[in-house]
Amino acid sequence: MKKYSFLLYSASFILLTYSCTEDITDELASSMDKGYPRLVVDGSITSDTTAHLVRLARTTDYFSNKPLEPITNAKVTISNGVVVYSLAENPDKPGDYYTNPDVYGIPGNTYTLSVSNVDVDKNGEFETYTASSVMNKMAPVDSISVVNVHKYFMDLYEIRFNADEPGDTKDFYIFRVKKNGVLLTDTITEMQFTDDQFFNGIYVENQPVYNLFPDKTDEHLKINDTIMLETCAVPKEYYDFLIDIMLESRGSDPFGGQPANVRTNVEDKSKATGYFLAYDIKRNMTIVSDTIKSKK
Amino acid sequence: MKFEFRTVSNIYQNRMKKIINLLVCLFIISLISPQKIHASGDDENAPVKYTISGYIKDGENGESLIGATIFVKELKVGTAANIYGFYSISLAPGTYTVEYSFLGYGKQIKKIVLASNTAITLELMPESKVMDEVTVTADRPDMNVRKTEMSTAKMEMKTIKKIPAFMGEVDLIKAIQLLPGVQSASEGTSAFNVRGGSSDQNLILLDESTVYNASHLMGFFSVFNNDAIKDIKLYKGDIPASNGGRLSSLLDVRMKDGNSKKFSGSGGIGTVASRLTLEGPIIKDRTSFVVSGRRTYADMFLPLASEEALRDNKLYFYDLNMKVNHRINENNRIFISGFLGRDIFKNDFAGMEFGNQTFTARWNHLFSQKLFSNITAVASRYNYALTMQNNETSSVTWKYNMGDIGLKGDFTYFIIPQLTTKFGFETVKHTLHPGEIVSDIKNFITFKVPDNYSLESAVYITNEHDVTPKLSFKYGLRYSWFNNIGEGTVYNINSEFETTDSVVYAKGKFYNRYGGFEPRLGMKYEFNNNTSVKASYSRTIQYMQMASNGTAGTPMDLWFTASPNVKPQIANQYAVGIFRDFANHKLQTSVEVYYKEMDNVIDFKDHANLYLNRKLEAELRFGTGRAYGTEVLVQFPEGKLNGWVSYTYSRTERKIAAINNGKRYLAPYDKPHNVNIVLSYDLSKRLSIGSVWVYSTGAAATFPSGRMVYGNVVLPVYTERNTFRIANYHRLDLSVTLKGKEKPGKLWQGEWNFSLYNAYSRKNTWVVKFVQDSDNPEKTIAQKVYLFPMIPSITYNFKF
Repeated sequence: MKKYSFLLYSASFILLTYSCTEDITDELASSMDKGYPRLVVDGSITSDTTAHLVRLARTTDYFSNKPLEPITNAKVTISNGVVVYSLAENPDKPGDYYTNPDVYGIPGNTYTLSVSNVDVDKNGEFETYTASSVMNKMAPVDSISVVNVHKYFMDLYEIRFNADEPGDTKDFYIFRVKKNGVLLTDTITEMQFTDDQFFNGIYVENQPVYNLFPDKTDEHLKINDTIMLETCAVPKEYYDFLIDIMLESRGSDPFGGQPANVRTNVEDKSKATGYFLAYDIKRNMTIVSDTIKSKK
Repeated sequence: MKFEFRTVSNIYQNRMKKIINLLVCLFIISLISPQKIHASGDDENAPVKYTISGYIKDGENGESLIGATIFVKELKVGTAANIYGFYSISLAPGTYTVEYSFLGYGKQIKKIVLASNTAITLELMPESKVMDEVTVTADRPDMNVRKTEMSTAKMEMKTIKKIPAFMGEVDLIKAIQLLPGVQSASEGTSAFNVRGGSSDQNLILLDESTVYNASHLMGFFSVFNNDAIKDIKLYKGDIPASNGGRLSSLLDVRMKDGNSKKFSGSGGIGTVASRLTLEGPIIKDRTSFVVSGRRTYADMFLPLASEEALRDNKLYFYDLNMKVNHRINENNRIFISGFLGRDIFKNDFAGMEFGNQTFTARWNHLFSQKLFSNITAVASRYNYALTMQNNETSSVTWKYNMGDIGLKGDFTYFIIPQLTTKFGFETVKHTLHPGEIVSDIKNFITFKVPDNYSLESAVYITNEHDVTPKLSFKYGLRYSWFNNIGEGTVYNINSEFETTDSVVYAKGKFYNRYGGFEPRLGMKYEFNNNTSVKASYSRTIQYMQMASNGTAGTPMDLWFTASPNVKPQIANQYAVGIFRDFANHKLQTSVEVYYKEMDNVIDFKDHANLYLNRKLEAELRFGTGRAYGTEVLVQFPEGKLNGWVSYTYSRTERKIAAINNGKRYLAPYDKPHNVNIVLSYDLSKRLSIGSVWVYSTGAAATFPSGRMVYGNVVLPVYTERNTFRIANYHRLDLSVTLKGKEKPGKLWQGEWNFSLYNAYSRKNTWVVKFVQDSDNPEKTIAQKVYLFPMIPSITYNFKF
């Protein structure tokens, strides 16, 4: 959680002050290694009763600058060990596979994704891929609030929450925000996440969990806006995966580690990447009132 | 001989036998040598010998002259003053012509009628103060060819001061990085790599106390204030048996003792920092002191910045060096020195503070004219704290702290001019507080990585032995051992690198031990006065290292020690070299070839979580490494044209089962070709110009081979590690130094220094970033990040 912000911020301070950048894409593009195609899995099952999405695609050249090629006609299932749900490909959007809309996950269960009837590396032979994720239970969140603060040299909104953190489990949380029903965290790097290292088993009060930046048009708040916080419990492996994403998405720097592939729970790991996640969601709402502006 | 690491209980006896065997061997070698080592009158057959001993000092300020040479013309034998300026030479009675000399100083020749032990302490005057210039330049002793040691570089502060300085701040670490075999870890950083070693494999000693982080301001400046430093010496291999604990190098930095003749000062006012050093006698010729301080003031201009992000910041560093020395009598002298450096960065919502402190207390004692001893007590500390505001009323602070406390004893026995024996011991207790998070947030659970305690000790004996006037040997044996001490927590790690359970050891319990022999061997054969060949072998063992998988140094160092899960790292280095001087030693050249193999090399798993991790050891991966290369050096040590030209070819590779699919890969600092041209020229007595040109192959880097998309973010996919290179690096720096007019009786001497860093403003790649285009998320771009364009600076230096 915060420890990464610490690192990021302090290391980048001098950089921000002194460094300059220059685009060298053209210089490098021709000499880059092309690698080999791998399966990319981006899918999940949640505690909501809905059609759950699993997106399958194939990796492509780094500088291809176009959407990934979807993997079509795959046989995709999600199983909890007892029931097997089949996923059907969306005819309008190849590569997107959905469960029936009445499917929901139950915390405590382990869900296994199976992908077969695919030839990702185009060698003429079909391969099978699997990925498993346990659905951890999300404890209730009592309430949330929105507060105006001055931080990082700017005015921003903090979403804070009050909750009783369970002490008997090591928990990992992701936070997503919807404003007037629209998801603000449509890219994964905007999502906030934390472990319970500093809160395990205590009543967490008024804890900032999410920042909204008013200079972004969609994050600017008006009175009577509805803010919904979705707090989700995720497995530790997914939390580590998010850290990998954070490190890799912002590009390497000499203070950080060596660049490396983000981890994956899709087997075989040398031929696949991405993540299949099972998670439990709790939702809290608040209405933006005029008092938040006065708080400093 | 086979060296193995096991816990002590089962092979203790075996190991003891090995020590005894080797020691016996060593002494047999020295006993059967053609020279008789007996100098006392005990043996009736032995000729009576008397000793000439004393100190060699700078006549102007009383500083001891480290490495000044003493040469007996009639016998063609000589010796050199040790780091305290002490020398001792034992000869048969007679009349001798003894020559005392030191580079850059006028030499003195003394006729000595030796009929009893004689103490001669004498002072040499700096070249510029000597009227008769002929004496100065003629027949200079040639240490490049003659000394037995190789792979070392001794730099004079006056040489360093002539090198163009970044932002006007003369910096000895930046000067070291211009030597063959040494590379800057990344642009602008004080971290450096020696012969394919990582930056934590360099032992940096300031007055014998370890400096754990030599960087100020993210490494753009080093912690060493050149006004307070007397002498620096870098061992790139062939590390003397008296030192150990690091695989790759020893950087031995010695502070000035303080002017014992008169009160004087020096300092400078520069673009980013100012310095002031005061020194002088407290009791003339007996007690002297030096105090040196420095502070940057770049942040004083920050309130003028247009960006708010810069305006409210505090960003500065300061450091302070202090030293007092006192001569109790001819046989006893004490030195107390200390260093304090601090970097502070602060704004409304975050702050960071870090720095080193060192303390050294030394006692020089002469048991006799032939047995010199020094006992040193050292203490060293490095810590940092990062604070971040959580909300209006609370903040979170991350603290790190490490410290050493230790005792060393070094003894030098000057047996005969041809044979000197050194022996000693050292023991250091390391205390690590690897990380703690504290906060005033209500109900906040303090997080702490358990403290770690350990004891690192060694004993050594080494002989410097001139078997014939042409053939010399240096052979030493160091035995080092390491103990983990409770209170400590050790996690058991399975073959999948997962922690299974943990064992907690009680306070004070010695729960794990490693040890090993570290032989150090060197030889030199002189073909003639101008040519010699040298060879060396050294084995070094490192028991503590830094968890850092970046290439540039950061203040957030995290050291960890050997433990039941982490074996000590071992290096074996072999080197041979040819040394040849031309033009009466005015042009000195050398070619050295080295091969180094490293065992138990540590790297980190992909995306390792190093900080604030109780199970750090599960993030480590172990394997082997090797480094090899050739270093060619041409030096111009004196005259109007001063400096050196060097070329280095070097490679460094690692092989670690769990990294890069077990395939051999290049270390991130593998930069095969490296050229340094460092030259200064005195246009007149007042005006000199300096230049540095650096070239090196771009560092090995990992570039993506493909892309994936997850959560609407494009992410790189990699195939192999470090198979690409960033662009080659080159840079030219220039400087002009204009000294004030010198007049007899004028006390104040000033000089202006104008420096230009990166004179042709090359945009050298610091890092290549692969990121999504901010306007078109579908598009990915490669960006090179570069740090410094041309940077001019001006500094005014003075002394009085």
